[in-house]
Amino acid sequence: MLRHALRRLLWIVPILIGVTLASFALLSYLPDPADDPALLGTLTAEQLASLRRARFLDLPRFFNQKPLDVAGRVEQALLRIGIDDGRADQARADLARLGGAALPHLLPRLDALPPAARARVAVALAPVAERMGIASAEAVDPRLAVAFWNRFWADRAPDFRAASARRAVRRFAQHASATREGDVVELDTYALDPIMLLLDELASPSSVGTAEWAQPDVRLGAIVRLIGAAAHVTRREDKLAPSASERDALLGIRRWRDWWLVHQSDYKTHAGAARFVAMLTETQYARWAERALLAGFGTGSESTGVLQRMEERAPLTLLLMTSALLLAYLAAMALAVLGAMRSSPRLEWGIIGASLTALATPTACLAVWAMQRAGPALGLAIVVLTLSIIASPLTQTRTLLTEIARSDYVRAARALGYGPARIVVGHALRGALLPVLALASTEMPLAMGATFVVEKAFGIAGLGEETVRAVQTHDVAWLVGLAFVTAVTVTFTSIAADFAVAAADPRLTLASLRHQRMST
Amino acid sequence: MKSRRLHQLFGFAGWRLGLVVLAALGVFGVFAEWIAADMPIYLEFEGKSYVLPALTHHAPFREGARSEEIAAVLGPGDRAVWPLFRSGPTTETTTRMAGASAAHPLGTDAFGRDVLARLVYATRASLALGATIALFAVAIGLVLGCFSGALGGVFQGLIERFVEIVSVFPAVVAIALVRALEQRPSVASLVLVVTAVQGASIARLTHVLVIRTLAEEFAVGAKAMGASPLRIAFRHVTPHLVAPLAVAAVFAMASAVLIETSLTFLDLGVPAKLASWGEMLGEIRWGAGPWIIVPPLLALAFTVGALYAMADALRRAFER
Repeated sequence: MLRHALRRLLWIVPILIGVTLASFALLSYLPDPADDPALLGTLTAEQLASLRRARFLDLPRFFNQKPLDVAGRVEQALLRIGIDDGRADQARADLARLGGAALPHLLPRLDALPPAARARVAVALAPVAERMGIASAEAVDPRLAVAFWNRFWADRAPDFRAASARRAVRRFAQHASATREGDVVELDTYALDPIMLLLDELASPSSVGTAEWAQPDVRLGAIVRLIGAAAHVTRREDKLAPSASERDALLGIRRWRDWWLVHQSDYKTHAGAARFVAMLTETQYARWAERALLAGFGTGSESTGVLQRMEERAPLTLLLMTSALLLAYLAAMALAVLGAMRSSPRLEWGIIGASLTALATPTACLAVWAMQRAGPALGLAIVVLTLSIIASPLTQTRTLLTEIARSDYVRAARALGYGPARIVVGHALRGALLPVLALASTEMPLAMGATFVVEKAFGIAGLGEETVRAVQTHDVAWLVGLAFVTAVTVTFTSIAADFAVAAADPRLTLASLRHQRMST
Repeated sequence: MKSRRLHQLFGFAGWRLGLVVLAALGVFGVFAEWIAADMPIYLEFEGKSYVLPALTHHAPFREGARSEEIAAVLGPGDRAVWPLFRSGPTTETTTRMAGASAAHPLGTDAFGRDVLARLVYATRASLALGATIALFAVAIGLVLGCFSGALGGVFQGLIERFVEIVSVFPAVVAIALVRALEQRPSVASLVLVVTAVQGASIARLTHVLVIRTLAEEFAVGAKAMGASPLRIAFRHVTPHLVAPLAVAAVFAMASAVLIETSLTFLDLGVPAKLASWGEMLGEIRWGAGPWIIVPPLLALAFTVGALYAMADALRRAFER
C-alpha cells in the first residue's frame, strides 16, 4: 500500500514536467515576431529584438551550449568595436547598456587592446560615466578617455566585488543619503544583481517579521529607492512614486522581476559550476518555466498578474462548478438508486431518455433560455449547469450500481431476506459512494466548458469571461496560466480522491484503483 | 459469421430506424447543392455547359453571385436547372430575422441568411466534423489502448501518462489557447484538440477491455500457440471490442457536435462563414428566435438519438 502511494506521488513529477512541456509546446506555436509581416512594417529592429527577447526567442529551446553572460557579451562587443565595421555602432550601444557590470571584464584588459581600438572602446563608455555621475570632458575625448578609465579602475576596482556591492546596496536601502546613493549609482549596472536580490527579500512576506524591515514605511522607502536606482542605471521609465502604496510596490517588484528574468544574463557572470547550470537555464523552456512558476506567468496584456486575476475570479467559477457537480452526482445517485430498487423497464427507459435528452441539449441554448425566462441568478445557473453535465454521472453511477447489485455481498444480503430499500441504501450505496467521488474528480476538466458557457449566458464574472476576453486580445499568458493551473489542480484532486477511496476501503489497493480510473 | 451478425443487426428496430434517420440526414448533407444554392445545378451559358458550378467553381460568374443576378444575365438561348431553393448558406439579404415565407421556408437569421440553406449545409459540416473526430479518436484510442494493454510495462506507463496529461487539460482552455495563437480560426485545430481529448478517453476504455479480454480462454490459447502479444491484441482481441468501441464512437460523435456548439457560443468555434449546427445554435447569442434554434436542435436530437439506437442494437447483437 505504501509502495503504491509513493509510486503514485512520484509519478506526479513526470506528469508535471509533461504538463509544462505541453504548455510550452503550445506556446512555441505562437509565430515569431520576426516572421510576422504585420509587425515588421510597424516596429523598428530594436523593438522587434526586445519583443523576441521578452519571449526568450534569442535562446535555444532546451540546451544552450554556449550560454552568453556579461563577459561573453563584452567579448563580442570588443571584437566588433575593434574591427569597427557596420555593426560597431550597435556594439557601442550594447557596451553602454551593459555598463558597470561590464567594467570588471573590460577595464583590466583595456591596455592589452590595440591603441586605436582602445580609444574607441573608452569613448564608447562615455554614457556609462554620465550615468555614474562622473562625466567629464576627458571621458569623451579619444585621447584622454583611456587614461580616464584606467584611473577610474585604479581607484574603484575594490568596489566592483560582489560583497562590497551587496553592502553598498543594503546600506542605501536602509537609509537614504546622497553619499549612499552615490555609492550605488557609481556601481551602475553592477549593482543590479544585489538590488534584485534585495527586492526579492523585501517582497517576501517573511521580511516583514525581521527587525530590519519591521516598520512599513522603512520597507516601502527601501523598495522605492531600490527601484529608482535600478531604473536610473538601466534607463527604464518604470519607477515608483515616493507616495506609492504597498500594493503598488509589490506590483512594481513583480514587473522588475519579470524584466530581470529576461535581461539578467546581460549583467551576471557565469563562473565555475554556474556555467554548467546556465547551459540548462539559459534556454527558452527553462526561462518560460521559471516565469510560469516563480513569477506567476507574468502579467500578460493586463497590468495585474495572471495568478492574481485568477485568485479574484476562481472562487466564483469553482463554486458554480463544484456545486453543480455535487448536485449532478447526488441527483444521478438518487435516480440510479431508484432504478436499482424497482427494476421496471418503464423507469429504465425514462432514465435513459432523460440522460439522452440531457446529452443532446446544448448547454448554451438551455442557459440562454433559462436566463431569458428567469433573469440572472446564481442558483438558476447552478441548476442549468447541473442539467447540462448530468448525462455522464447518470451513466457512470448506473453502471456502478448495476455491477454492485450483481456482487456477492448484495446477493448475500438478499438471501438473508433484506428488503430492496435496505439493500440499496445500506449495502450497495455504501460501496458506490467513494468510487463515485473519485469519478467526480475526473469530471472536472470536462465540466469546465459547460461552466464557461453558463457563465457567459448569465453574465457571471468568473474565469470564463476572462478567458473569452483573453482569446480576443491574444493574452496568451492568461491562457497558459489557466491551462497549467487547472491541469495541476486536477492532477492533485484526482490523487487526493484516490487516497480517500483507498483509505476508506482497506481492501482496495491503489493499483486496482488505477485500473478503475482507466476504465471510466 | 460476420454476415450473420450483420443480418442479426437488421433484426433490431433501433438499428433500422437509426440507419434510416442517419441516411436521410446524410442525403441532405451530400446533396446540399441540389437543395439550396445560389448557382444552378446545371447551366448552359453562352454555348458552354456547366454541371454543379457551385461545387466545381468553374462558373462564368463571380464568386458569391446571387441567384437573381445570375438569372438576370441569362440570355434566351441559355438554360439553367435550379436547385429547390435559390439561396446559398452565406448569402446575406436585407430581410433579417424573418419568419417563414415562400422564398425562405424556414425564415432568415440575424444576417438575413436563409435558415433552410444553412441547415442543409450545416448538416453536411456537422456530420463530417463529428464523423472525422469520432473516426480519428477511435483509431488513436484503439492503437494506444491495444499497445498499452497488450505490451504492459514501460509502454503501459508511457501511454497511461500521456492519457493522463491529455485528460487533465480542459478541452475548452486548450482550444482557447490555440484560438488565441492562431491568426484566423481554422477547423483543423478544432478537430485536433477535440480528437485528442476523445481519443484519450477511448484509449482508457480500450486499455481496460484489452486486459479483460486477454484473460479469456481464447486469448490464453493463442498465447499458448506462440502468438506475440500484439498479434493477439490486434488479431484476436479487437473483434471483441467492436461493440463497446462503436458505442464510444457514437458518444464521441455526439459530444463533438455538442462541444462545437459550446465553443461557438464562446466565440471559439468554427469560422462563422462555415454553417454548422453549433454555429446555428450559437446564433442564440444575437437573440435568435425559436425558428432558427429549433431546426438544428431537432437535427442534433435526431442524430444523437439515431446514433444511440444504432449503438444499442450493435451492443445487443454482439452480446448474444
